Amino acid sequence: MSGMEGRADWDLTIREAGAAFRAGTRSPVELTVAILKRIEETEPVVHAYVQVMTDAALAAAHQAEDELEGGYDRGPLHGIPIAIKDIIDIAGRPTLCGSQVRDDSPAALEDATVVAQLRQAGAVLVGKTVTHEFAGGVISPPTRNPWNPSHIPGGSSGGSGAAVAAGSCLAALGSDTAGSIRIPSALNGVVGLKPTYGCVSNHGVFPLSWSLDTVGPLTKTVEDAALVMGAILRHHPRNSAAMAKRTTETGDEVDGNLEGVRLGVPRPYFFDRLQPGVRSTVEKALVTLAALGAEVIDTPWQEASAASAAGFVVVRPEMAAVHAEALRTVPERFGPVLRSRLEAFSLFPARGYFKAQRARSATRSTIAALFAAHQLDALITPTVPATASPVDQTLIAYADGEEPVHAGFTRLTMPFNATGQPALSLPCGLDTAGLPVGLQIVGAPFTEPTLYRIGHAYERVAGWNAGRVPL
Amino acid sequence: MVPTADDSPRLSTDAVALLAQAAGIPIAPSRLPDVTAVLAELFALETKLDELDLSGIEPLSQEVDWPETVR
Repeated sequence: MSGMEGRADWDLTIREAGAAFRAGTRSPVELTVAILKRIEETEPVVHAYVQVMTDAALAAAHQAEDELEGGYDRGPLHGIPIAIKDIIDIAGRPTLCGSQVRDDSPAALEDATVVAQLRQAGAVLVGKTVTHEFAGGVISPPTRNPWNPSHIPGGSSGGSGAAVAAGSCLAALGSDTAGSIRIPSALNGVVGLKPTYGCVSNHGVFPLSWSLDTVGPLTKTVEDAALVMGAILRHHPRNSAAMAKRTTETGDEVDGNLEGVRLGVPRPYFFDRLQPGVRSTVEKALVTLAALGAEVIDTPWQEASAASAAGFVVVRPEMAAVHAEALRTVPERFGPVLRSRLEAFSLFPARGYFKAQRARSATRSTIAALFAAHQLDALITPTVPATASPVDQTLIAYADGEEPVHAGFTRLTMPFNATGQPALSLPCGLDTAGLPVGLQIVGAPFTEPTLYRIGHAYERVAGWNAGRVPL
Repeated sequence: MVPTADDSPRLSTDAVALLAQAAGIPIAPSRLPDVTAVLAELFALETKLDELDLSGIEPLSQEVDWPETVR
């Protein structure tokens, strides 16, 4: 232990590490060495990484340290060790996407835009993290949950969530198409943000679904998520989905209480079927938010189920289109479950796909009307209806029955992929088994700073952030 | 709740085999039941969209503007 307030270096937040660098009490090289040591300690259990970039990370840390010592400060991520989900290109390294289909893939020729942005911000890239095969699932083998290694980390950004929770990086990038940032954030007790669709570049990111894919951060705190967003949000001309006219502010509104904030709680659908520990923990969080000054009101959203269905009916034919060539040439390299799914999705008619795209328009109008009618700043829901499942469990158990793991863990997240809204997941407590519960805060498009404000205010009084895993 | 294959009109493995043949996607007979179940679930999800009034509504793809009525 050599960190601030008696904590280990690997346990620091981005904000804390940056302050320590500038105070001269820690250095980027010291922190990177501590993270690499932490990776060695935790990987035999957690298996969060596909590749650890030891030499490159140390070289980048030395450069960051030299720059800071020379008075060249690149900002909050300068010298900060960050991990990258292995569907995102890092120049000179293969992007394996968790699939044997990509076993022979050559090294990427250039960085994905988000990776280039992180480098420009001075981040130290420490490795690539495990994804469920082609980002299409919630198990993410072989990664295990640091809170209990006999349980799944969630997915598809399971390696990123587990790595942040285990302290083997200070932040990680993930991608979210049906919940793939928020689900592992919830199950691993960390913060995850799915930004507004289109605010972050997808250039150099292997697609799952062009219409919904969104890259975002997984971090220890809400404030850290805002800091990472500040680096990756910038417009880039190669980002086909980037917004040319509107931008999202970051960071400036992180502090403050919740007086005057109106929070909607859509109980039908989002609270219909939850494990008891999730329900009670989220209800306590609602009480806390009200105590902070927010006005918490019931706001049913009748079209939530249809929004979720629309999202899945869009994703699945797009998956088939993405993988059409590989399915024709090397079908045996896909995992058996994904292969059957892709074959089935290939047979779905275009009429149904466009019906779903029209349904997305319709459901987005209804959620916009809900925000307008109640003058809402955000919606509050559980992120997922259950805590992390045991690795050998295919069904989630509730008091009234069971639900397949994939369907259950995406049920409360997908509606907001369909509508394109920003959604933040942050930890709000543990269930009786000692597994983390996630709270989801959903805003109108381009209102990420509002989510930071709400999340940070909650986080400060609830006392939830990283560093508590029993590893 | 999430629709299941049971919510969809019956979809036979024979029909899926014909569809796959027409699409040029060879599927081994042993795997047809799994593929049929997945496709039936997808059709069931599509029927969930029938509860929406889609008259006059255009598809949403890359467009992400939000109505100005939101504060």
